[in-house]
Amino acid sequence: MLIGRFGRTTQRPYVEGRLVVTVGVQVYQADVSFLVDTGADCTMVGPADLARLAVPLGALPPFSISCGGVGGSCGSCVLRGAIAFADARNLYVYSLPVSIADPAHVPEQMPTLLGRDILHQWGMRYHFGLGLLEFDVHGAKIVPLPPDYQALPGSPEAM
Amino acid sequence: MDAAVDALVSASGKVASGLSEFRRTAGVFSSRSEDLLRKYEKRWVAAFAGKVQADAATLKGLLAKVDRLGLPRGAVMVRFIERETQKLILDADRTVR
Repeated sequence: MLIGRFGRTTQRPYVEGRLVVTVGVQVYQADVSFLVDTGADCTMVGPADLARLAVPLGALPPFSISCGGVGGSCGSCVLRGAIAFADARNLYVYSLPVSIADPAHVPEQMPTLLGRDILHQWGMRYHFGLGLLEFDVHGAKIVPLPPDYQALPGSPEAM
Repeated sequence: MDAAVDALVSASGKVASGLSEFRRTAGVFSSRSEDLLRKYEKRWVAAFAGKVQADAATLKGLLAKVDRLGLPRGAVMVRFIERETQKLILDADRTVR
């Protein structure tokens, strides 16, 4: 089971995972706080996390795929990628196309969205008032963690 | 196995350890809202190893500071601190090219 959290300043629901994208033979990765967004069709990387991935903008495909939202539309491109989530026992890995929002045309504050391409495979318990955000994971490649692995004290999965 | 999946599976213990540290750092943003707003409202903040390490007026400036401090971008949590947030709904038609 995965444990999410609610941001205090934003009150948004988040879950942390390792995002990996590939451009040609190059592999880029970063730990990401994903905004749990059942309104998003697909997982989409925002400008700040794109900068943290350190993918050269010139290496990306054209931002030619239109994405619509309440605030208007923007261009995006798609990279091959994978996302891993972890609890105290396993790594849960999803291989998926990852959308990248055109950083020139969306607010820099746009969070990276975890969309229904992942969320439709999970069960979710969501209770903001209780601070409860839990996910039952399905459809992932399950990788058992090494026997000597221990989550850091104070991290959610160690509790 | 594709390269992205292989990068995760071949280093599963390190990936989980990194995520555990990252999630502990996320506590900076989950538990100290008034403190953060008072000190950093409308500024970009980078947290690592459980505490705020740098702040700046712009994302570009913040990442430059992160690089100067020798912190790994991929493990640093970055946020713009604000009281009001924009609302997002996404609808996309996409294919891998």
